[in-house]
Amino acid sequence: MVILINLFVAVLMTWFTQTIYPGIPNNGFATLLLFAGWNAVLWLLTYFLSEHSFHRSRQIGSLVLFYLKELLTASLRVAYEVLTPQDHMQPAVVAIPLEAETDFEITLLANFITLTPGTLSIDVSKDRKTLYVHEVYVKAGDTDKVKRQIKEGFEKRILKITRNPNQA
Amino acid sequence: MINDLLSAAFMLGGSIFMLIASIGMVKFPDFYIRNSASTKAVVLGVLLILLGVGIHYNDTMIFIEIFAILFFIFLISPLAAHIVSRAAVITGVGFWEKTDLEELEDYKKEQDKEAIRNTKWFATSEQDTSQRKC
Amino acid sequence: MSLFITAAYIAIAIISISTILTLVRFFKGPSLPDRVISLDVFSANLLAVLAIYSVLSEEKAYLNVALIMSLIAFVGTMTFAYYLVQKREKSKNYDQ
Repeated sequence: MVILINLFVAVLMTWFTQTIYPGIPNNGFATLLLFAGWNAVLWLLTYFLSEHSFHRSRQIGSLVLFYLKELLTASLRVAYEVLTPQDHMQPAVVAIPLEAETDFEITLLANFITLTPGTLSIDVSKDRKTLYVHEVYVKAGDTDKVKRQIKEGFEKRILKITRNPNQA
Repeated sequence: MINDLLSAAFMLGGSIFMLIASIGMVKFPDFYIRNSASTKAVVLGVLLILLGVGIHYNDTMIFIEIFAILFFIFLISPLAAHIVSRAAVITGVGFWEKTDLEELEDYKKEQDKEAIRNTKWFATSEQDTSQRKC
Repeated sequence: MSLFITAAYIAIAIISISTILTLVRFFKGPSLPDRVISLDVFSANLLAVLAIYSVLSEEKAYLNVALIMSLIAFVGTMTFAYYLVQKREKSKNYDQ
């Protein structure tokens, strides 16, 4: 949460510095540099706000990179599926037991799952213990592999960020 | 010159991804597969096209606007896909014949509504005509 | 005509073809959610055309229109999904 606030404040501060000081060149490279600089400054300031998210920033960066990589592979897989005439699809509905508990964690997980290769989150059960996912590539009914992939890929990374190890 | 080449390449790549998304819309056999395919390709296509436009203008204000659009798209489009697929499951839109539905049984039991429990999830031609009414 | 403007025109042509394909799904779609999804892709196509057209006409204001487009498309999809669920509930009560 703190990271999101940081991001928006960094955008705002970039705009302010760009408009107030006319000496700064108005091109994309300077904007990127300013944006990275403001992000670094705000990251240092979060040390006083919440020490937890200060230490977790590297994992957040790796989560974003992992997410972009998954999005790219998902789109390339869709492209491959569309451009080849025969289909390799073996769809199944998979029920994933959830470790995430709060609203924020479940929302984040469901949103991330929708953009990973071949998956689409359908619904959360009423006791919020299982998440129903429509998965396109299941090889020979092997749903356990899909569950393991999602739990070790995204859920572990999300829980590492949102949960404070000192409290738990 | 390099700017022009880069932004042209980004725009062409993004539009090709949009084309792939809509070919998938026509080609794939089932609502759920179509939904999951089109969401991914559309998000990547819009990302690439907007990056190309931003590189062409090379201006701070445009970059901030593009950041806002991309933030909304990344937040909104998986959410919309999830909500529509949930509505589709509740209204009983059929799955593809090859789909393995073993683990959906629990979900069906949990819904304490007769109509959902008795739904046949596989789309037949009769079901299609009955769904056209709603 | 420079290389860049040619590339922009080609991109607009490709997106127009994809718009036609989404409309095919819109008219053919067996169920209502299919149509909702095809409208979603349609509005994304419109957004892309607006972005590229703003490059072609050197008019930055079109990007604001694209921002509003992305928001309104989401509201439309939400409304349709809500309508579907509500319709289902209503018809069930009527049956009982």
